[in-house]
Amino acid sequence: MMDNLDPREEGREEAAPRKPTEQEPAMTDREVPLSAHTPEAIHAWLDGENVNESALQAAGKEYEFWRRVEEETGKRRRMKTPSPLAGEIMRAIKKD
Amino acid sequence: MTRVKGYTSVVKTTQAEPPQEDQIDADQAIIDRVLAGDRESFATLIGRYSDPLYRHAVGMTGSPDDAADILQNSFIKAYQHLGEVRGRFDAWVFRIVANGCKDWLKNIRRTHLSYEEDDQPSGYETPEEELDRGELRGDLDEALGALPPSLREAFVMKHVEGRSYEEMAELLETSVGALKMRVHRAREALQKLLEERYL
Repeated sequence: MMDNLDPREEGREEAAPRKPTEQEPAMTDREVPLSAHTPEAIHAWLDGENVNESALQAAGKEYEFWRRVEEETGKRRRMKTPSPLAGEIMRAIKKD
Repeated sequence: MTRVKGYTSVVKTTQAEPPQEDQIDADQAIIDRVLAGDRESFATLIGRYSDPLYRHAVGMTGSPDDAADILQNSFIKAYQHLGEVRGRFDAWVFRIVANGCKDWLKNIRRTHLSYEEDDQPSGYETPEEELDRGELRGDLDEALGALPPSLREAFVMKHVEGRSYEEMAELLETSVGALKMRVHRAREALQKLLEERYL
């Protein structure tokens, strides 16, 4: 039987996971962590919605925390693929 | 920040734009050339889409080395099956990379690897950003590694890739509402994990 490499098919397999074995631990939502209450104004701001500045300031330390997280994720948003990678992929393809 | 009629509102503006119709047609033209034997043209597709895919893989694995391996294998797989592309190439190759990340998470026993353990530079835009090993960076990596993969995936797509909920829904073939819930749950879990140190 040939391998099915259609990525959509692989996606469907994810939707109906097999029973996990010791070698293959379950991966989806196996440990839902405890959660804090993040103010709605913060969620709305992080979602890119218009938010009154006073509502954000009222969130105090939480606003400052998420502003710092946003600063860090902003740096990650500008990450570039390491430059040798494209060449390595093309060399591998040509060997094929 | 915008000011409207005496009231101050704050809007984050970091959305990534999905490809437009002419870009989709341009991708298809490249695919046709590759399938006709012009292998070099595949490099254009790699250049066009590798950055957001690399960010996804780094966000999911926490390891630039493993992210690079996943990306390389995914593009090779995409090349080998290029004739099967129907619709948007970027969405198709995203699913290959996302599945590669999920397979990595299934198979890996460790839950976290810091960037410092990798040989490869992380890919930050500037040397200053690369060298910024602030506490929050490491703690955020660790907290992301503790999230269930579906929450981590949603958080990474929203915050690291800067995608809209609509685009996420299209790529993951699920609803906007479900994804909003996953992102909100991810944020609340991250806040809980980090609040002792930062709040």
